[in-house]
Amino acid sequence: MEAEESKRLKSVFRQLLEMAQGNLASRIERSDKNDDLEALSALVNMAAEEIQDAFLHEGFVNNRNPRHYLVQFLIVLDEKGEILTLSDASAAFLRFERRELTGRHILSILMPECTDQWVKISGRLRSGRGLSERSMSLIFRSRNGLNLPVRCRLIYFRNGSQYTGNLVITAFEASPSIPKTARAISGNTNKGIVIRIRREDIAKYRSISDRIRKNPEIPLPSLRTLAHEYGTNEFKLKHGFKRMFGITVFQYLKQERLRKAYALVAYSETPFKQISKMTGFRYTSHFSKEFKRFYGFTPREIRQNNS
Amino acid sequence: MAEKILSEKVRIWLEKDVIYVVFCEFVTIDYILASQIVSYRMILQNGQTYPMICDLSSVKGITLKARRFLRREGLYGISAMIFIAPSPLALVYYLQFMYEPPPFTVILLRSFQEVRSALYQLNQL
Repeated sequence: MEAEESKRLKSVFRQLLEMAQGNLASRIERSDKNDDLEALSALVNMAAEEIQDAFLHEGFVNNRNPRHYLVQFLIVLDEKGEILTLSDASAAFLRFERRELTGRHILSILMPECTDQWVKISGRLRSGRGLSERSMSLIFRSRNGLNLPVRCRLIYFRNGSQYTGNLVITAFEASPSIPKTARAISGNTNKGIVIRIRREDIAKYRSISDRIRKNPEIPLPSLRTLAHEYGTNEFKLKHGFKRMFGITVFQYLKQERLRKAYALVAYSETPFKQISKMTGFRYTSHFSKEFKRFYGFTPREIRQNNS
Repeated sequence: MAEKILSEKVRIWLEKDVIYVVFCEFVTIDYILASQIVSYRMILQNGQTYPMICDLSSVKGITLKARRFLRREGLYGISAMIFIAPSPLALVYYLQFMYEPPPFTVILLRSFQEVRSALYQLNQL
C-alpha cells in the first residue's frame, strides 16, 4: 500500500518537474482511488491544462509561424504495428532515445485506456480502400511514467505507394522548450505594447467579465465609461483585458451573447427572433450572421442537427 | 418524474421542480457527455428555470473543454445549485467550478442525506 502511494507521489513530483522545465504536455496517470493524493493529481493535471491553454492566448505562441515552436510528432508503423522509424522530436517528446523505440510495438507506449480504440480504428484503416486517414486522441506513456495525451492523425498507405502497408501517426505538439521560444517571440506580439497586469487590475477585469457573463444581453457603455466605472483608464482596460482573456471587452461580450444563444438554439424550441432579442442582438439577420461566423453553422442548421 | 440514462454514465431527472444529475460510475466528463447532459436538461426543463442537484462523488475527471462548457453554456436555466462532494477529488472539482462563481446560490454538501435541508434552505432564500 505504502509502495503504491509512494509511486503515485513520485508521479506528481515528476509532473511538477516537467512543468518546471516548461513541458506542459504531460499528465499524471490517474488511478481509481478517491483520496487526497488523487485530488492532488487531478489538480496538477488541471493546472497543466490551464497553463498550456493560457500560453495560446497570452501570445507566447506565435500562430503565424508555428513550426518554430511546435514539434512534428511522426511515427511510422509496419503492418504488425511495430515502430519502423520515428522522428527525433517524437522520441524526445516521449523522453526516449530513438533507437529504444525502433522495433517496439506501438501498444507498448500507449496507455491501456486507449488501446481498444486504437485496435478498432487502425483495423478499420487497414481494411478500407485507398489512402485512409482518421483523427483520434491517443495517450502515450512517456519513459518517466507520465501520460502524454496527443490528438493524432493516422494515415494508412495502400497499394501504389512506397509506404504501402505502413501506418503513420502524425501530430503537432508544443515543444517542451516553449519558455525559451516564448521569450524570443513574445516581444513581437501585442504590437510592442507590454502591459503589466497588477493584482488589483486582475480583480477589475474579472468583475467586468462577471458582469458580462451574468447579463450578456445588456449593452455595455463605451470603453472609457466602463473603465471609469471600474476605477481604471481606457488604455489599461483595453490592453489589460485583452492580455488576460485573449480578446477585447466587446469581443468578449459578443462571445458570451453567442454562447448563450447557442444553448438556446441547440437545446430549446425558442424562436430565433426571440433568442436574438434575449441575447442582446437588435436584428435577427445580424444575429444569424454573427452566429455562423462564430460557430461555422447557422442557427437553423444547429437546431436541425440537434432535433 | 422523467428519468433517462445517458450512455450508462449519468442519470438525469426532474422531480418536484428540482433537476437531479447523478453520475453512475467512475466517469470522466468530456465535452460530448457535458453537452448531452445540458441538452437533455433543457428538454426536461422546457424553458423553465430550476435548481439543480449534482452528485460529483463518482466523477474521475472533467476535461478542459467540458469544464469551460459547463461553466458557461451549462449554467443556463439553473436558478441554484447543490453539489454533493463527499471525497477530496470531488471537492477539487467543486472548487475548480467555483473559481468563477456562477450568478446564483451554490451550496456544497458532503452527502446526499443533507439534500432535504439544503432544499429547505434554498426555499427560504
